[in-house]
Amino acid sequence: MFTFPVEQFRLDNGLRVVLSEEHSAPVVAVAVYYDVGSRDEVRGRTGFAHLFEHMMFEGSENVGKFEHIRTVQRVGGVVNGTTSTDRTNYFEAVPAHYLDLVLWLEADRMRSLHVTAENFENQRQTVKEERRQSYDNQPYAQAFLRLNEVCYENFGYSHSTIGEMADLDAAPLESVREFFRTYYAPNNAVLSIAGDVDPAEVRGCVEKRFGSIARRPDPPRPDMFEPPQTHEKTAALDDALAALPAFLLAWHVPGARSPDSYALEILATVLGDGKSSRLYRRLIDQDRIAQRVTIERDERRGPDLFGAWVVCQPGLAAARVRDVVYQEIDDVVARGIAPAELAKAKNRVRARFTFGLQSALQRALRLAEYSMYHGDAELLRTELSHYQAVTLEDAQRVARTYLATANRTYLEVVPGAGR
Amino acid sequence: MSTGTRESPPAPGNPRPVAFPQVRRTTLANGLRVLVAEDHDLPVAYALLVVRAGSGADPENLPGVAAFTSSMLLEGTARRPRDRIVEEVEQVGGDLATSSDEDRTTIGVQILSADLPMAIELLAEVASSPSFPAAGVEKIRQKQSGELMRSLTDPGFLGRRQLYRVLYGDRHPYAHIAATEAALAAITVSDLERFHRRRFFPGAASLVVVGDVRPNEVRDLAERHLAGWKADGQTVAEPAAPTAGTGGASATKLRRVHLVHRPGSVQAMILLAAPALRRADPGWIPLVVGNQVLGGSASARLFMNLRERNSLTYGAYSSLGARRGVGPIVCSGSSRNEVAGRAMEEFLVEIDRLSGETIPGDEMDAAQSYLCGIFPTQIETPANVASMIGQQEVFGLPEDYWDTYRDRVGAVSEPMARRSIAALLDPARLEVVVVGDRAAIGSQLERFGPILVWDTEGNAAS
Repeated sequence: MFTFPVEQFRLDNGLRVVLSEEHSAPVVAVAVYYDVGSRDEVRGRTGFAHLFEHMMFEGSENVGKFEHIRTVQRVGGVVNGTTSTDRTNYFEAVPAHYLDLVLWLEADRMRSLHVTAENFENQRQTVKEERRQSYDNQPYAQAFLRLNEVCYENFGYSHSTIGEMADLDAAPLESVREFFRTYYAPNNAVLSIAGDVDPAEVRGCVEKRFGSIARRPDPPRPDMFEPPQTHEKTAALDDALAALPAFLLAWHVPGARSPDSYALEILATVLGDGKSSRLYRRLIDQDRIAQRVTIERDERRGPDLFGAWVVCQPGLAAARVRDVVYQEIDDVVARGIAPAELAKAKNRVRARFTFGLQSALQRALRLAEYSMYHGDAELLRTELSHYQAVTLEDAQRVARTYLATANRTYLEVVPGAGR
Repeated sequence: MSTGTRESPPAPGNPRPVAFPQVRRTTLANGLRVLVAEDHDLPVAYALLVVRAGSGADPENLPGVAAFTSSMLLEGTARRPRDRIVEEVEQVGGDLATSSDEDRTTIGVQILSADLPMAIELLAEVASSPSFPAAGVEKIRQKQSGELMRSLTDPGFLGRRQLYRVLYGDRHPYAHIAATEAALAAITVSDLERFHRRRFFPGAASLVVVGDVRPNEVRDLAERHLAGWKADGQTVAEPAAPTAGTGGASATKLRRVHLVHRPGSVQAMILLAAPALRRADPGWIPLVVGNQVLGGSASARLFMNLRERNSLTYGAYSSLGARRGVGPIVCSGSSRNEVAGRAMEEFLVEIDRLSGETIPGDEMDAAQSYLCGIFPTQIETPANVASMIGQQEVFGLPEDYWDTYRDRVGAVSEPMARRSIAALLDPARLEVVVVGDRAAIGSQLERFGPILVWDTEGNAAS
């Protein structure tokens, strides 16, 4: 259970602030979420939200190039930023007496990003190296990008967050300033602070550092409408770097924390979480036809995907392994899950939730996400109750509703290495 | 940089006290050490049973026996088949996993603290009485063989495998990081049973429990489930200092470049390394400070040079490998093929600087205050605290190691830090490994030394 106190308020400029006080360790975590992700990108500008995230470390009015990171690390802080389809976040965890320093750093770049052509070229190259290191030089990584292109008709989710090389090359400097003006407004952000703090004192600091940043027009929101999929899609991808056959499966499902998402998570847990899950037992222990099996939802704001990722044992036809997965899915659709499986899945969700709140940083991130996606960080308290309420009937109903053939996409990875 | 006067960052408040949790240590009559630290923030517990035997104790002709044994621990015990072991932990939301590295095998459980008694019972059973069923052995053999095939496509795996061969020489216990296909095919049930019999015994093991627990309760559980573990074994011999590598490492050799040819690579993964220190060496902490200056974080020299100034990489770092014997210091980064040679040059520039010039006070200060300041964040969760106590056990660090750690980091002088790292990283004698496509990068590497080409299987290529 989430038992920590939570305070929420809004500054006059629209900045949403979440505070959670907890004194067990002399650490404070700060997270700033901006409501912009790769789903906001248009054709020809893929990868821009993430490239922009890199520019947030390249200097602002009072902070030089990369000084943000150097300043935080100098005091023993953890610092980073990440970009997803749905949002961009920046975070720090520092010894608690440096809270004001971190607020000052975050406020400086929310107010006044300083962009130069030289720094932009530097980060363009850096991000291209990131793409090579994380995708182009890695077996199987391309398949995860390809899957979204096949599944989604809506451009917002069909293209990658890392972006196309050609689009990264073409990204103009002026777009950095424009993107900043459009999306990096206080009224489009959430500031979340968790850890060893005195809330009354923090309110003052937050007001002092962020209060004078001007509100700007609310940015446009993307239309994420996804037409219902009416027939099964299949595709294949040659992967010269991969040695073992593999495949991805995906079904369209509603977004994170929509009413059916809880039963879908229970289903994903029963099918694929842990060594005693149905698919682990069947594919890895019993039939010994797979190396690895993962079942999970992407947890997008939505529409989301419920996916399976399976790496087969050497020499097997992927389609043969896939058919075994289909058998297991068919069984859940036809017969549902057992009471003991439901109880176990609930226990596992509860434990995962608890383990996921151990550090101040984990708590700051969860609270910020709740505030941004659902408008109320306090909803984190009720999260577990939604899972506890899932019934056997719910689990079978969502299996029947969403894990249907017409709603399914199959992407086979054809390995080319080691031949 | 803007033209106006810059605002100064705000001053910090008053630092708050930080202390490593108190660790209660006891030893059972059979020699098993039990270490407990309390953290009552959340109702969770981590329990680790650490056994001082890893791949460094593999029989010489059978690399992979320790890792194979570690996987077999969950395949069944004298009292329970595999399905029940896994089911019992997972039913209550816990996870049980085994792993192994050069010096240790670890059996770990994360669980809600109310279920700790069951977890300790299982840990004890899995460690002391695995049954090595034939069907499980064949399953693990197939699985690991597939995993090995997959690893051979991973540039990081290929780089590390080649690096440790050249760093330690083929016959050293730390020279291999994984099984070979031939060894996986050859390992028998009796090899696994023999390894377990020789190396898994209470005198070589420590039970570490951290979280929402009471020391008395843990000690009672340990007495109940582990006091009956009666086994004699043989302590793993201390690994010798590395001598001759495949590349013929010696005090007078020239630097060579080991190129692992991975066709189709769009980046060159560069590793420059040297043998460093035993983890328990008194010189470790000065070396940690020196490494922090060179490449311990994104603020350090390698990252600032190769990424922020020269746009050659997504990230470049240096790190120390913690081993009971002598571990390595490794500098690494990946660069697009066209600039592989330039990236190598910049690594060498930064390594050269260590012996050529004093480390400015500001950089020393940044390194030391980072290492001290990050301590409270490192000890925030039971999992991290358990892992740190586990390191004390495996590497033979003193009981007050983490209590005095920050003082000792703070006491390192510039000459101590610089000399400790400069003495190890002699640019002329580094071991250099590059993973990439030979056709795309080979010619750029020639100026750094004679090139030896290896295929992804680890054989010399023509």
